Amino acid sequence: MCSRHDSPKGCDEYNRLSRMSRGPGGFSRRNFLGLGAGALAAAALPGWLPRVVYAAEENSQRDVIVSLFLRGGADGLTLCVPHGDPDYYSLRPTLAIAPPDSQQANRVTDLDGFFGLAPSMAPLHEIWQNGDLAFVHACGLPDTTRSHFDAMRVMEVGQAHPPSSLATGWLGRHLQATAPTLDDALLRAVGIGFGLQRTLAGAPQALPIAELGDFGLDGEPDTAPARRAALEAMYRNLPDLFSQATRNTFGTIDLLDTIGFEGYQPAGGVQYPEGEIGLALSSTAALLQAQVGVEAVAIDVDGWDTHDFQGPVDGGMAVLMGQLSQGLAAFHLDLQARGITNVVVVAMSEFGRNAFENGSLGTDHGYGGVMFAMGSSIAGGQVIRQWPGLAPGQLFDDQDLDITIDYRDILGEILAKRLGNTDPAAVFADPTYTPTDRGVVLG
Amino acid sequence: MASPSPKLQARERRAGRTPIREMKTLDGPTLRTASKGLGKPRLPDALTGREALGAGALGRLAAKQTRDAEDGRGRRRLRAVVERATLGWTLGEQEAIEAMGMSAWLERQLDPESIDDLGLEDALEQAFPSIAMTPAQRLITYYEDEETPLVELELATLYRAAYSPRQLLERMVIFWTDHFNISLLSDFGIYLKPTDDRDVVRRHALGSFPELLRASAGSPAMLSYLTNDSNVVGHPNENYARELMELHTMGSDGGYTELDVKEVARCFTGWTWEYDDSPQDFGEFIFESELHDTGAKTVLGQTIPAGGGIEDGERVLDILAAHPSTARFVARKMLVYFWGYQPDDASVDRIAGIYLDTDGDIPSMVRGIFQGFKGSDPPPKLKRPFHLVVSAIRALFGELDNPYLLVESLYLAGHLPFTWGPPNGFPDSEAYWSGFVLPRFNFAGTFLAGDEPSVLLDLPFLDPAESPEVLAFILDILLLDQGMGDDTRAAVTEYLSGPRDAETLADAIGLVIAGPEFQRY
Repeated sequence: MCSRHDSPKGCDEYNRLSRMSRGPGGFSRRNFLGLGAGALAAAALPGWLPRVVYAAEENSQRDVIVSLFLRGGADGLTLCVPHGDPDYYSLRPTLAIAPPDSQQANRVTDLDGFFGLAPSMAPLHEIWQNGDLAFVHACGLPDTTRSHFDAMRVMEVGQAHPPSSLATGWLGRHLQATAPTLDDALLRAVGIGFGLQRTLAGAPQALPIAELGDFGLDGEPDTAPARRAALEAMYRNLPDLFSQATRNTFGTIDLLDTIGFEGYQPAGGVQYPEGEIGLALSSTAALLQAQVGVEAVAIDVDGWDTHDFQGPVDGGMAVLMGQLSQGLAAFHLDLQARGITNVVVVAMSEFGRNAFENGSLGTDHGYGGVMFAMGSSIAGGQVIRQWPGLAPGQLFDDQDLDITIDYRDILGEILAKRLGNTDPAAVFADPTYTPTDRGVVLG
Repeated sequence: MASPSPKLQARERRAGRTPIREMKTLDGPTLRTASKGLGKPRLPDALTGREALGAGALGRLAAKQTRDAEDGRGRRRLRAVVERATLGWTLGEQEAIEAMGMSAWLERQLDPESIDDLGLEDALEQAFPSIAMTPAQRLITYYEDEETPLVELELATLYRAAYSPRQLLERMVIFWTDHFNISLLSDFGIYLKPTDDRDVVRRHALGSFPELLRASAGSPAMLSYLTNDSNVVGHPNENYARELMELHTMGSDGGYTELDVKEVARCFTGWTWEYDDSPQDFGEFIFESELHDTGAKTVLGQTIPAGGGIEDGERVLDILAAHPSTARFVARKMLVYFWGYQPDDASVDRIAGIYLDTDGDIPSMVRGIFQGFKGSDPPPKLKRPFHLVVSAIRALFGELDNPYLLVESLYLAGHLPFTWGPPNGFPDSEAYWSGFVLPRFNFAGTFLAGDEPSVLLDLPFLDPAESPEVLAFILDILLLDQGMGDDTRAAVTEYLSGPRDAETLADAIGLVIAGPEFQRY
């Protein structure tokens, strides 16, 4: 049924975009085109709206960071399979993926003679071969909590042990500490989601935006321009923080409205996968190619809590890995084709899973896992690790892959070498910790 | 070290905190689906306050507002008290306060038991049965449906805030909910927090701080949330001890040391809750003496002798509750809440003095803060999203129709009660909440409008046939106590100046709600 709350462009497009949309696509009141693409596009945009398009070189000293959080505790032994460790096969009698030299159709694609990629991760193999993708194994949050809540919170805050009473996130504090790459940037950071991810909490000029192509005034589209005009008139002369924030919000609506997320055409002939991850990444690509001064994007990828029927080759986790790897490969190749090379993607999860499988064809909450980083500046084509082994005496707490690399080492190196942060240790605010360079970034 | 007892092993397994069942991700569709199936409380008509408003009230009050404006100082003070002691000024509340006098009104609010709740709690318990259950009943009933108790608690909280005649109690409940924050989304939070809300926070919100502190320390929800359930002899877990001192009592600059934290943790070893011994006792507090560290401890220079049991922790609570740092920390935070973001030191000293003189009597402290309004006007604060939503419903005498949409709005605005993860509670700062402008505007722009409004209006004087100027004036009387600014008036009048219907008027109300005056209090 086509109600007047739908798009002014008619139901077909509305429905198509609804299908594309992520998350609460079922919300009854989409802010869909609060500023119709045609309605106001011709109107004069405020003069202070940054519209200068910087050449890629001018930003090349600093990367834009896209921080992915794989929520639920992603199984590192499936994301990056240690096929060279015989204990992997004995611990995972049904969930292990066959080694590269196996005759089975579903087998690991070898990376370095010891690790390999699951079949559904194949799209990332090309990126690996080009040297733009690195894994970091036996890595993670060095705390024994197995609570999703505690572990996610403390990792996003950028510390080692819950509870942390810091309210801001590691990326938020980084942005606080560095000057914007674009003077007067309206939007330095975006958290794709409902409510700003803790990772970005504290960042100046940061907004949570559930759907980049859908940031505007809710309600009747016909009256939206007049309602907006009234709101702007009420706040235009007020100096307080909140009133300033209203002006930034309207500026951001205009900014995002110029980008044209709905009609975004990826470059290089790539195609983003359907679904949440694909939409988040293609919207991020659209945002970055517009070069409006965004320096950080946080994206959540849900669904990694695989207690039962994990399905590493033909089940739920394979589907998820397929979407993730297709999305990331498309993102990377799209931006490369546009000559945008100053983007680094880093992915992490709150913990890995038990080394052994459980009785429900799944795995329970574990300890060490895997991180990965992608970008032109990444020392790719390697699995960085100090492999602790999976033999009985080598497992952490007799059940998990141990952690030999603190997740903050990876973040700290990226902060220092690619994000222009001169004091990454200060970001982590932990006197007992000094970042160790793990060679994840080139040079 | 000797091998741990089987009981200890069981506790340590639990310390691994494998949840009974994974909580689904909290998102819009989940909230929506869970909310839609719920019952709707049948509220007595009197609760909306429309009756009290009565015929001719608008004109009567407009005249009174104008007359009072001549007495600027007293008038501003009256309004400030109502705005800070309730979840939003209303014409009805103004009539009540004028009928009984401000101090009598305040005294009545400080003694919530003296106020008839007009059947609100009964109606809520009937519509949302999980709020009145024990943790065990909740576990048994909602094991496969954790979203229902979550949304029921959210809705009950929304209804109480909007309609309870015990408004100051509701304000205080929000304060202590943040002060003793426990996330519903933490492990077991769904089963334990609703009981904490009822038996700890609501019961003691306008009582004695030391009793509230004691109740919180023994609350299974708190012991689970801050993992004191894995704090055992030989393996201390400092989580609760640290937050107890930093966030609940003394404040981070209150003068305790890391050693104090460790010693306090030892005192609370064995304070835990029933998890797996018997289903009917699930979620009850227990003290496990065999898990308690019976050695001597020293806390803030005071010796707690060896051989103690549960009284070690109780002794710590007494020491903390009586500490001057606690008095100052709690006093300052209450002033930020009721007075303004930057209370002066003299006010903090004065309220802390009341705390120390009255052994932490919460009504005495609140009374003291409001007495301070005689000296100067409190500086305006930005409403937090929950406050904004509730104050809009109240000022309009609205009836909740699709309250799940309000739950969604609160979620989008980052202020769905009981969902703040860290132990410090939702922030109370303008900078933080300025990050969520659009969800506030979108709440204002949609809650009355369209095919699916979340709040229904029934106010006869809101007639689109009136002129734009008259309508703007009515909205000024109804929503802003005639405090509308010139830019707001001009924008609203302009918006109403064309052809208009009920929908146009709903938009105009939304604009006033979204405007700079209504966003503050």
